[in-house]
Amino acid sequence: MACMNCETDGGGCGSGCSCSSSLPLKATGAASCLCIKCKDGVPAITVGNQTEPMCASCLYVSLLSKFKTAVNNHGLITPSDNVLVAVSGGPASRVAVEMLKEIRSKAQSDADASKDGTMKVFRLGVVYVDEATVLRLPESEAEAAVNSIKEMYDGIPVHTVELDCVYGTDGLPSDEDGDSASSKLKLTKLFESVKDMTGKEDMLELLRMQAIQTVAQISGYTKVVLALTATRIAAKVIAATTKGQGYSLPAFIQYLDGRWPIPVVLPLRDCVARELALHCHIAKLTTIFVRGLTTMADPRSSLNNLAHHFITLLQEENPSREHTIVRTAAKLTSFSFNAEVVPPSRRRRNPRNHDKGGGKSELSPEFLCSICRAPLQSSDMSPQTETTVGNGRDSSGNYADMKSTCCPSCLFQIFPEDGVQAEEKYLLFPDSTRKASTSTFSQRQKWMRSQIQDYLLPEETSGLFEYQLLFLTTMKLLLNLHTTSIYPWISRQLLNDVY
Amino acid sequence: MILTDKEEESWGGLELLFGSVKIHEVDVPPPEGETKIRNNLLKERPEMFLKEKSVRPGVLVLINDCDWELCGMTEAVLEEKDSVVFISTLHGG
Repeated sequence: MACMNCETDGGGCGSGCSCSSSLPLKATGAASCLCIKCKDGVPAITVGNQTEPMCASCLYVSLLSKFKTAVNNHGLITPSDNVLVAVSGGPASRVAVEMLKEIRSKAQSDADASKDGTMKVFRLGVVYVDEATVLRLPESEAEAAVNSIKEMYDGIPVHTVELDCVYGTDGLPSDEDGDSASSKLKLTKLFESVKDMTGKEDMLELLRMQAIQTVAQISGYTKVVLALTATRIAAKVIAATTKGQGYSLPAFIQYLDGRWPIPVVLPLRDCVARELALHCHIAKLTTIFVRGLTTMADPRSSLNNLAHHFITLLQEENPSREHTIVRTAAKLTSFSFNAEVVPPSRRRRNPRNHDKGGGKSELSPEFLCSICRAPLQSSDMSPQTETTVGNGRDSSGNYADMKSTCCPSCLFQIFPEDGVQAEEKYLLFPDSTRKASTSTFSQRQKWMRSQIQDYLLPEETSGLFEYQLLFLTTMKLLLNLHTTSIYPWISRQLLNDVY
Repeated sequence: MILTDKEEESWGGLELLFGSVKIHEVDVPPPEGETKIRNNLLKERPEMFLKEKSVRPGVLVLINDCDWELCGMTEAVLEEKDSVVFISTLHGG
């Protein structure tokens, strides 16, 4: 039976090919499946793009072209940018850095060849966040990891920071947060106080991003690249759905995330983890593995872990599942801070990438959860409690402010406490998180006041005049609400009486 | 019975299950292949690597740097000096 994709000499083709021969193949010797992209009959070594047998170089070309398309079509990196790549030692970030190096050297040679010498090329650096304090790694293991990272990324600036740097405002411990030993202690206590494993993982991810942002701001970077693959994003979509984060889900999965002081971009959004890991192995790119919170643990130990295992299981049956999940989730309307700034040459080809000035925030500004920065729905923002309305409240805010500006998921996983326990826990959060929560709280109060300003009574009124004013204000309010109501005759009556 | 010398490598964190040693040289008589791995090499948590008669989903298997999907997966016949690489894709970049 002739197979369109490969030529056989009587052997089978394995599951990557569409022909139905089922004889077992010898592993050694030339694989009978040939690369469908190469014209000169090069044997395929893997199944890429879900179903196509490909050789190693075509696999790399396919990954690189997806990366470049994402960067160019969505305006993720411009020549004037100073790009910071967050690395973990794993294959995805390793490949991201290699690809950026390649793009940069090509841009550099174009710039050198150009006549006027004004062409700029983006600059590159990497950051590694050492989480040994939280992960309870032995010091030798943590040190070995840092040294390996420095070796792997020799040639470009490598920034290594410890996670407790989030307790300082400028990378160094601030006076308020104490010295380095006490910030490590605070970090450990904060994590111990979160009993839920999923909550711990989520908080670790957020503090890691805060640490990366700190480094980016101090060292003058203008973009942060996160090597999130389609696999990890699909797992995030499933996990976020189980955590009830449906409203804020679109914020985390777009190419650009502008919520942070230094915007975060995801150029590997269209690549799957499996292909990147394979490429790393074939190209002999060294990677290291650092244990996480749930390494070696049961898949059910956390929702994130479970979602990841689920995606892996789906992918085994049908390799296109990850892309399908990401594509489906991408249909949800994103937020204003996800709007991309696309160069004019690309705009006509992709009208969907236009700068979305409106989106969900036409009527109200986006308020973000104090802990995870997820956009908050107005129904999620709990009303002011007794403890915040009082004379004893100082300008630094308190735990109730923070709790009223947290999303339900964070309240459940990370900050479920009340009373004295909540007060103690509030003090364990980094200073920047507490300040952000107070600021969000007061901004929200201001915005709410501005919405009802017209209906508030002026302060100096008394007696009958007050009642008349109250009546008139109520009527005005009702009229505004009911001018197109199902009771137009009431409106007309009121209109005649009042005016 | 054909004695095969296989080199096994594991990456992506899998080496933790094999006592943190990444490369093993193994003499594997064919029918005993799987049991040998399970009894001798896997130091802990066998269920994280093996699932029934095959490897767990999320573990990429390369036979001589070629994806085992193209070689017949569990039906592939191995020969002397073959190199088998296991890569875990569960913890990505």
